[in-house]
Amino acid sequence: MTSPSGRQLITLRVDGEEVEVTVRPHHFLVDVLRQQVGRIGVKEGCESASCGACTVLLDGVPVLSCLLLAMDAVGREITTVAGLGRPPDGLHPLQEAFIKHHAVQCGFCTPGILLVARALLEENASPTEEEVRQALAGNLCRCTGYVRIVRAVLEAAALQRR
Amino acid sequence: MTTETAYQSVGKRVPRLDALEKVTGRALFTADIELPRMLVARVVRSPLAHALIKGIDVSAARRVAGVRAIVTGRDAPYLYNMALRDQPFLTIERVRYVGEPVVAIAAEDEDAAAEAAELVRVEYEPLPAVLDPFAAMRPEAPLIHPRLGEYARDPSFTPLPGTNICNHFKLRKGDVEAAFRAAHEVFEDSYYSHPIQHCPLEPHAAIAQYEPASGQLTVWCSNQSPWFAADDLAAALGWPVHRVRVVCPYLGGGFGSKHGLKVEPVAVALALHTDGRPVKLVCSREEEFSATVVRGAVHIRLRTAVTREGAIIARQAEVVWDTGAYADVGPLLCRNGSYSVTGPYRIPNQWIDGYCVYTNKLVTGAFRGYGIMEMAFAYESQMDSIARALGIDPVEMRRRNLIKDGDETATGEVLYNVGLKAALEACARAMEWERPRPPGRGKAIVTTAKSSVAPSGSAAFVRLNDDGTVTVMVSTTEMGQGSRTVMAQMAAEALGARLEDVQVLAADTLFTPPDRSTSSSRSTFHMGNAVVQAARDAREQLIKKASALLEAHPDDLEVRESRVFVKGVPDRYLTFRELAAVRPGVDMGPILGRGSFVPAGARPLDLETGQSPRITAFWLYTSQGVEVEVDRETGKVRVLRVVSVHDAGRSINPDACEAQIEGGVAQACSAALLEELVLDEEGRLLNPAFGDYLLATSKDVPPISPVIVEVPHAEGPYGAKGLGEGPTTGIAAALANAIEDATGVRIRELPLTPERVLRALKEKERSREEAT
Repeated sequence: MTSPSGRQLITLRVDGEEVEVTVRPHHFLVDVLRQQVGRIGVKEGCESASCGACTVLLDGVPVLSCLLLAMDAVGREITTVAGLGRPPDGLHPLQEAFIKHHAVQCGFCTPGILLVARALLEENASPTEEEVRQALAGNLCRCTGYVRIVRAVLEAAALQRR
Repeated sequence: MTTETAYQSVGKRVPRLDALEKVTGRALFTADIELPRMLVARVVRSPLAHALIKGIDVSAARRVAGVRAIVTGRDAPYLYNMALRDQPFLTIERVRYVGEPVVAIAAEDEDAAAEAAELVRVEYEPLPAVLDPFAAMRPEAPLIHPRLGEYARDPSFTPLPGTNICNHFKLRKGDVEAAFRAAHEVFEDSYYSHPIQHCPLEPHAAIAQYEPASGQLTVWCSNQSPWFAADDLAAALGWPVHRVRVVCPYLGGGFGSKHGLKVEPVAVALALHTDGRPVKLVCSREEEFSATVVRGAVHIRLRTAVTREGAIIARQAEVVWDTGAYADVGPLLCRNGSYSVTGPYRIPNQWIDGYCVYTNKLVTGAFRGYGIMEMAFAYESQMDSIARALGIDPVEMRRRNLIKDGDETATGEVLYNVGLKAALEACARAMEWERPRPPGRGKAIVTTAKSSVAPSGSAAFVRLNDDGTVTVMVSTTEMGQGSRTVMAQMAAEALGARLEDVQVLAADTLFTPPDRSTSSSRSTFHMGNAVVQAARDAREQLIKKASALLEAHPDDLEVRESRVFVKGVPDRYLTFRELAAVRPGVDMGPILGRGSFVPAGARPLDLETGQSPRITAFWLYTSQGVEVEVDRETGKVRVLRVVSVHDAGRSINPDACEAQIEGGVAQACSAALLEELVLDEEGRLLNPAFGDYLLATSKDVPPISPVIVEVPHAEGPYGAKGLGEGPTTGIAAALANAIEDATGVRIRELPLTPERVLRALKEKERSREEAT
């Protein structure tokens, strides 16, 4: 259903919930998730698919929501950091490891990195350090030098294998 | 290497207090804030580096449905910037750089704002642009600020009206000419440090709301220094500062770029014209690169006189700072950077001229390290050249010249608690300096020193809530450095509270007391002192109350784990909860501790000689080592490892310190090897995107070994000092020195890209062939 202003009502499936949102055809998923679905954990850092802060999982695969039209996400399973684990209990092992290893500084890149790392661990339960670094290469972090992020992902992998 | 202590919270590797919020994506940043009736802003920016504005036509833009306000510079004719009040909220008659705000639009949604921005027409009359700072210093150069002499300013520097020089810093010490005449050898070299951008992952953002009925302006913003911003806005508007409230939620990185007003003035200009509706302005990445601030280029010429034994006896330096179109922190950066070109060395005779020069380019702001990476690139590069020429081991050369306790700095300050030698020796050990390197590899070790800003004050409240929990009220902002965690640790320690009972508020100038800034690695030291004082004040009050209730002498009481005990009687105690509430029989109200700190005896520099008894609360002492391998075919430098040693005074949270070191080193490697802002001949930035501006990724960062040494500072809280900027200071010089160690090629310009290294290798090859 399209209104004269070009707005349409669509349904997105976000972190297991069905959510109705109003969008125009050119609206990107990142803005819709942030403004209409309350997912402030999806960050916008570059609007040109080059920093990774807006990463979400689409049917389990990392995508950059700043270049994905909201309408193209209809019928897909969208996972944001809010779907990864909930405080204070029920955290994902990755989240636990990030806390333990001081792998967070400003926290702006953290949600995107956690989601990429989760996708990596689903695919490869025992990644090497090199594989972790490769997987995270599209997610910029300006605070940590990646040292503790890589350490935390490797530890989360070990925890999950147990 | 950190000292084991009897402390409960200080010195412990406790997790960050903000970690849970951040790993669950719930931490609130400015752009996440949604307010009722909020409008969104777009900015129309100058496409020209230097031009007069002949006309602005917004009639078509106004007709776009959903547009609520359009403002130009004339609608908010105010000038800001504390150091030198030269920058308009939006430009008024002249544009001075590509990217300068000319028109701002507030609309109901992004689509309307964007459409209106496209329809704004601005007519310009181009003026000759001055892009090179040396050209800008010539007498015939077009003036970028013809009214330089009329601007209000901080009196601690020297602008030269009628020129493009907004500060000429002078340091005169000893008899330089005599020392040069007496020298065994004199070295003269020029160095160039390139322009880069801070690239915080969170772009600058501000929400401004002005309520005409109460006259109250509120600005939520991604700003490092809320009181600095509030004071500056109030001064620009001519209002009392209590009518300007600045609220800073979490910052997604700052690195200096968010110190001082940046996007706030544009948001405020709009908010003054929206009848109470809040306006949100969030920079795009392109705007972040081209229209916030950068670290500008610096040109350094060094002349250094040495004895045969390698003692440095004189230095003459000329440092030219390309500050861009507006002053921002430029004049102060020029001062602090230029006096630091001495390095951490004892040099009795010095003659330094620093020039802060306007050009029609992006504005230079503060950048983590505040000029010291640039200066150290020059002085530590030259240090190795001198050592090589004299046949002295580079580490030994530094040993012979390092400032030690009781020595005087360039500016005439006598230093104590100097951790330089400790840092250098720790670095040499970790780098296995004496061990011969395999062929093709190079090693280098450098030492640097950085001052913190002074005099500068901080204040804090430590509030005992009715249930005995503790709230620390400070205006220090959390931008990733871990300030909330270390403030909580220090408050818990000084008060005797359990860390889990302590909360640290986000900065809000309506509630959190004045503080100069979250910058210059100053918070742990300055705000830490204020917090410790406030916590001890609250502790005194707790003891007084407990003394009455427990019928014990105050000297017989001790405070720990959020309880007040009678010493030696483990079951005679009162909990904070029992003590916080008003108790019949004890005439004491709620407990509120106050702390206020400024370093004693700090004085501004003399404008003619650059001398002062004390210019900083403390110095950051750093020693960094690198090992590299250079690919002679491609010129690519592979960094095999980095050792980064820092005198923390005392490490309040070693995890937080090490994390700062790793991040700072990575940033410095990225800056030295990959990053560079590239402008065309018209002053337009050619690479305002991560795709074209290379930033270190997880694949680019070398192995980093952070090392902390602790030489407690007599005035530091628990002996602690700041640390955050140190890791960025020495890396560029260390890399250039290691490249020379590996290849024999000396590079005096940054960045150390494969092209530049390869060119240098080929030139060396050619000159060798010509020689034979």
